[in-house]
Amino acid sequence: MIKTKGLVKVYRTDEVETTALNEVDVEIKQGEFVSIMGPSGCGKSTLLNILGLIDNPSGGEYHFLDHEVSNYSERQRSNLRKNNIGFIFQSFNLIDELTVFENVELPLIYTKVGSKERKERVDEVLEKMNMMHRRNHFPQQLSGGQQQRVAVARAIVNNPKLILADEPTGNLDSSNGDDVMKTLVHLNQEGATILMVTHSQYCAEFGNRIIRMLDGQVVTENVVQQYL
Amino acid sequence: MSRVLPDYTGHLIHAIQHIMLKNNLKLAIRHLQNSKTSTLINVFGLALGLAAAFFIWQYIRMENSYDQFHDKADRIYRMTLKFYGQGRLEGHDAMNVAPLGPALAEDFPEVESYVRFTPEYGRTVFKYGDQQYEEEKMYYADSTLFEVFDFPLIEGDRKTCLTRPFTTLLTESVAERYFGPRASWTESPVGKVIRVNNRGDLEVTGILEDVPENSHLKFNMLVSFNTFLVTNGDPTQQWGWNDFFTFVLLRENVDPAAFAAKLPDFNKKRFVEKTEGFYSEAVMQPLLDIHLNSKLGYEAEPNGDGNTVYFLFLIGIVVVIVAWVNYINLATARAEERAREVGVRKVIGANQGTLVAQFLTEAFLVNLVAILLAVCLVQLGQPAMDTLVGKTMPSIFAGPTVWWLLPTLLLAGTVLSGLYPAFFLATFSPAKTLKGEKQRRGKGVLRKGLVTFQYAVSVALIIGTVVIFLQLRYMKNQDLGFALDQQLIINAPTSLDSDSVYRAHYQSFKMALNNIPEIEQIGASSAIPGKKYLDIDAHGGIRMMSADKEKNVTFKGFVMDEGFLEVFGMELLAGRNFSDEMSTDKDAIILTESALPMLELEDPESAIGKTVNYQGSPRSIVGVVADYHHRSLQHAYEPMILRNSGSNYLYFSLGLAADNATEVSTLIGKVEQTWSRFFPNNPFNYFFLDDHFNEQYIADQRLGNIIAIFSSLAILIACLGLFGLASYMVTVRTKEIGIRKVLGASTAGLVGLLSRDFLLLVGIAILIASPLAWWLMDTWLENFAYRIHIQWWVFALTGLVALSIAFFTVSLQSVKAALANPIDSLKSE
Repeated sequence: MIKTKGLVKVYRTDEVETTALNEVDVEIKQGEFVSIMGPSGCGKSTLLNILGLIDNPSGGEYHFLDHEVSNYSERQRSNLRKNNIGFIFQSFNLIDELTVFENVELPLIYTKVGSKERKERVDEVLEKMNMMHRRNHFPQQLSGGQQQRVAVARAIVNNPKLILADEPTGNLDSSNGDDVMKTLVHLNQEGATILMVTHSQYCAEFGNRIIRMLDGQVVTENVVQQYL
Repeated sequence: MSRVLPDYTGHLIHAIQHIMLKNNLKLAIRHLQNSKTSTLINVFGLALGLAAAFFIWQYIRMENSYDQFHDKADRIYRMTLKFYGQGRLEGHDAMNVAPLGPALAEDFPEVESYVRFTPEYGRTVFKYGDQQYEEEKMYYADSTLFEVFDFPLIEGDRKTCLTRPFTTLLTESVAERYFGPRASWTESPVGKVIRVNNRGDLEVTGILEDVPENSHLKFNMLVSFNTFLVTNGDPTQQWGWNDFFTFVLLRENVDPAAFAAKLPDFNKKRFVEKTEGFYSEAVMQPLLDIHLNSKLGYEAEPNGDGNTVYFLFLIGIVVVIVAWVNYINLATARAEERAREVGVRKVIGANQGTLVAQFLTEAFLVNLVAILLAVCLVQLGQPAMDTLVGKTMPSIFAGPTVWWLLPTLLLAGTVLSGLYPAFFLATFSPAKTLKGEKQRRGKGVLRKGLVTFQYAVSVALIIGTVVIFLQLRYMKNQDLGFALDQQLIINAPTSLDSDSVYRAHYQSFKMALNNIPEIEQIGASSAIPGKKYLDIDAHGGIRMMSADKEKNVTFKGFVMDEGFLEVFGMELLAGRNFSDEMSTDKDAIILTESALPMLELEDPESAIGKTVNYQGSPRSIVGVVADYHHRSLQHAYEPMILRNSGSNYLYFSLGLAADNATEVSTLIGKVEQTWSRFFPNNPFNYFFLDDHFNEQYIADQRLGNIIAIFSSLAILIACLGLFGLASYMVTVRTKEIGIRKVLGASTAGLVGLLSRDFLLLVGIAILIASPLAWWLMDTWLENFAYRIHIQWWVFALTGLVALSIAFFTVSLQSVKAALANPIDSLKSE
């Protein structure tokens, strides 16, 4: 599903040139649950952004679903993204002016799903996330765990092939964090490919493979012993 | 931005498709509710700006609508008259000679019809039954009036109503004075007979609607031209008597330029050049050009000024742009706050088009509410604005224009104010915004430029206002060359049988008034400074007795008695005043100083005793007076010849004692009593000269008021924007302020820090606006023969005021932030 070869990302400011990714080769197959770990600044979020098609690499190749996408325009990336990828963030990133229902509905509007089907699918996914009773609330009226459940619901409402999660438990207490991780595992079991960035070894081990990064390079990859 | 420009049209179409999406609308409403301050600033500022623009639009529409109500307006031309003396152009008058119209009709098949108007110069007192009033603006007009013009006739026959002598059309208001309210007329006034000046009769042959406000020619009654021929002499063969407004109607499909090209030959043939170098020519002027573009001699009414109208148009547009700029500035300034939202939406699948559509929806809503509010403001402010401009302007809903103007403004406002912020926001990179990275884009150069623009406009308008009022003050405080205060002027009587009776009554009246101690001097004349310019006459064919015919010149002048110079306190430079005692003085004249060089006289002393050939009759110069301002200071001194006469007066002037303690009404009561003893059949109409003279400045005073209002609005709107920007900047820098305070920064230092950037922009604005305003206002001042020169302190003062206002506006926010407890701001992070 995902294959990169010599992926490079360089940030330039007026005087400083920072290499965030340095010749990164990764491959992720359909159905995998991969965790990316590493210290702050190692390039893991940059890698996630590039793999999630919200940023372009400075060099190297990136094949996503058999498309070579490293030179895609924002518009092309946007089209590929909205039909295939769901995002979950550490800070939830819900839109404050929209209700729970409307936040989850948004990806369906952008993929031009009809209003009747939208309602059905949003209700279905909210049911699944156990958020039906809060469907007309605004994000500020919810707890952190509830907000992240809404964010997950929004990420999966389009049935994406790939779910990208950037420290999804970073802002949650351990019990809410566990809930989110279990949800991800469940989604993985239902067939979704998941790629997660995390600081926590505990969370990382919910996946079946861990990629460790340091200074913009992949240092080790090991398979997790499944205990769930 | 450059990256998105090639995609511009695509995005726009996409945006329009999305703009009305329910989701966008809902989101826009919620977003606007959440940012109340900036929404209020935007809506209120835009509404003020738009209301100002609507008012200006109404005014311009009013000014542009002059004479449009005539069906054939575009085929009607006024024939004006240029006259040359010694081969050079001596003048260009609005009035022409009486035989011109018939001659044009005879010579040119292109002329479908013509009509002439000539004003009655004397006093007209109408009497019907017990009702007796002095009437103004009476014109004589040809019976062809309705072939050319479409003044609405309520009663009477368009073809025949002006054919017979001693017939008249009355306007509705005049008719109602004599016949009561129109609704209560049981029989038509047509056929009734009105007594004029107790001397003759006029039969009413028709009733006209009151002449519309937007007619360059205003009259209260039209008497048949044939009446003029009987009462005032026959001008129909006189090619030098130019008292006649002449309008020609060209046939359909006649090319006006081709017609105009034939006029030089016509002029040569018809205006015979009796003396070498002295000749006249008729010139065509489109009817629709008269109100805004004609400033000839002897215009029927003071016309409007095209430049002023275009200038106001510019101000209107600029004020709206200043308001739109607020939207752009506040929207882009708040972009940081919305960056995360943009990022999320993009990640979820929104493309630029959908985002642009969403931000445009917000702009659309703000503009919509502002337009509705502006319409309400205009409706509420209409009476005040009518007073301000001195005209009843049509409602903004009059006519179909408003129904495309409002949607156009809405669309233009949405696109102009919303498009840049929309693209600015929509092109944020999601990867960066989600990481919380700031979007650095040229350090807000555009925003700074726009703030500078807003203040430059405001400063320029304030300078304009100050200069206009300084010029007005200058004109009002200038020495006019005569006494303006304490002058009570009475309209002279009309209905006296002969000159000798008139003279006798006037002398007795004068003696009786001498018994009223508050009245110091009494004079009589046919013209008064500042009063109707048409009262002054112009006579050509004047030269020194010894000079050749080629030396003939034209002079303005009027008649007066011996009291006039005293009442008006005019300074005699040489010679003496007229005297009633000297019978030879009926042929005496007094010159104003500037008339001397025109007669090749060297100085006042040497002029005394010389004889002037005044259109063939000898007139002896008995005195020379200092020049004085007969008209406002917009005009230069005019060389004049003052003539002595015992009658034909239009005004009696009473000089009142400066220190009298008598109530004005008591004094006027006494004068009126005396008046009715000597002139029982004449209405008593009076005015004070100073009031009247200053009315000449009303147009400029109004322009000053209008610009004052719009400059206040512009600066208010700009300040609203600055307030919004400042409050936003303070929010963004809360943490920095906290840290600085912890480190020991003083409140004053912090206020300075926060205000400095804004004040710098205002400073730059002042530097840009000052030379521009100087150039514009210097051009305006060139309209005045007597004008101020703009001093440096005008710019310094305006700059100081603008800086103070800006500093105060920013301080409202910065002081609050600087005084806040630093821990609060640091904890909030």
